[in-house]
Amino acid sequence: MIGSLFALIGLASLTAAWFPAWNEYRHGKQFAAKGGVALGLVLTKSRASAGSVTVLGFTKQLENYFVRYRFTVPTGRQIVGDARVTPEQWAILEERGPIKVRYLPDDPETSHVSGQESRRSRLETLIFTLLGAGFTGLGGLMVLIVLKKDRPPT
Amino acid sequence: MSAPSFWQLAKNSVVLWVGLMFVPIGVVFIAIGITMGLEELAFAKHGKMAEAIVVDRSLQKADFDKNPSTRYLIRYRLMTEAGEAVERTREVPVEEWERLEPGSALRVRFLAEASDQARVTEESSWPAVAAFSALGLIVVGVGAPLIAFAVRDMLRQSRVWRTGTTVSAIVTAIAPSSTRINGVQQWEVRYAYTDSNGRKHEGRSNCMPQDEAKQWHRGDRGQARFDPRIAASSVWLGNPTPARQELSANEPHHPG
Repeated sequence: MIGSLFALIGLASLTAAWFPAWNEYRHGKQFAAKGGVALGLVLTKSRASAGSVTVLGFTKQLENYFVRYRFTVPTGRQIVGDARVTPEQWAILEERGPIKVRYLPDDPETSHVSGQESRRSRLETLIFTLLGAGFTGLGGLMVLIVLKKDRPPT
Repeated sequence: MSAPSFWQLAKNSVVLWVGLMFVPIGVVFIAIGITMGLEELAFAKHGKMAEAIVVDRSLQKADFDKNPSTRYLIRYRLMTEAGEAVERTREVPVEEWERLEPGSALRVRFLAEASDQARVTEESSWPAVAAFSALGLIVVGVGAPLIAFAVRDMLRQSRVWRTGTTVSAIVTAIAPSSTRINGVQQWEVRYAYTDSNGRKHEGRSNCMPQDEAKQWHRGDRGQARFDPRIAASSVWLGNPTPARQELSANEPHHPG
């Protein structure tokens, strides 16, 4: 029972770690194959602290950089999108300035801009992966042991 | 041995200091909530509606230094009842900023007696009033009982010091307490004593630094004082020169 629960928690953590990455990969393929391009307008830029990392006594402050933009698809519909971007891209983009937006014509809410970074940080993915692998491994092992014990001798 | 002053007892009461930190913070939040609430009520009762004209709109760009996010600002002018023209600047959502071109009209509410206080009609501070007041009440709700608890215990200690029955007590343990002051672990002396009726009780001293606590050892005999009405209520008096003695019966006697 506990083994199954552990395995379930592990699988949920692995899904949480890799589903967004798989989604981004899938969208990347779709953008390349049939993505539309529009010239959007940068509405706002913002940055927010993302904590700090200390390595060998040297502390580095981390920051996330965001842009909000708006673009119009051929049907005339206006779409507002948000993206986390690299600091270099954030510095280049200007409020009320242009921004090149790729979007999926079938689902224009799914869009992508140059310098866009994954919503989930690598550290988060690593933590969820380790947790998921640990729980799945432990839970699977416990289930196997129970199954082996319950098997009638041949 | 003279009874410690109220200040000496207060200095050793960690609970009191925690409570004293919480309550002023909560009071500040409540005060902000009340001030905003009164202002909101004043706007509801005495606020006058007026047509304002957008005179300018501007954009404060985000940068790596001072401004963490883009701010869309409009500057508008309104005429008060006294015929005075007042100009105000306000941050607005991007959609409103795009709609409000210079020269366009805007409905605002203002207080006749304080014409510098004007606001766009649909704005309301009630959510902020509720948030500040609730947060303040929670913080005070945590801090005030802590102060009450600490003061009650200090009064108890003071009373037992003054009117209690002095008794010989045996140290049963020297242990870290659950308190840390500035990251330094505090220790406590645990002791046992027997009241006038021959019933055994246990007590704990106030928190003390490790060095002071380590002067005592299990089995040492010190002095405690207990409340004759509630014999389980006691204070640790200690002893200037703790000496290890046998764990044996002890006799109560009155101070002086």
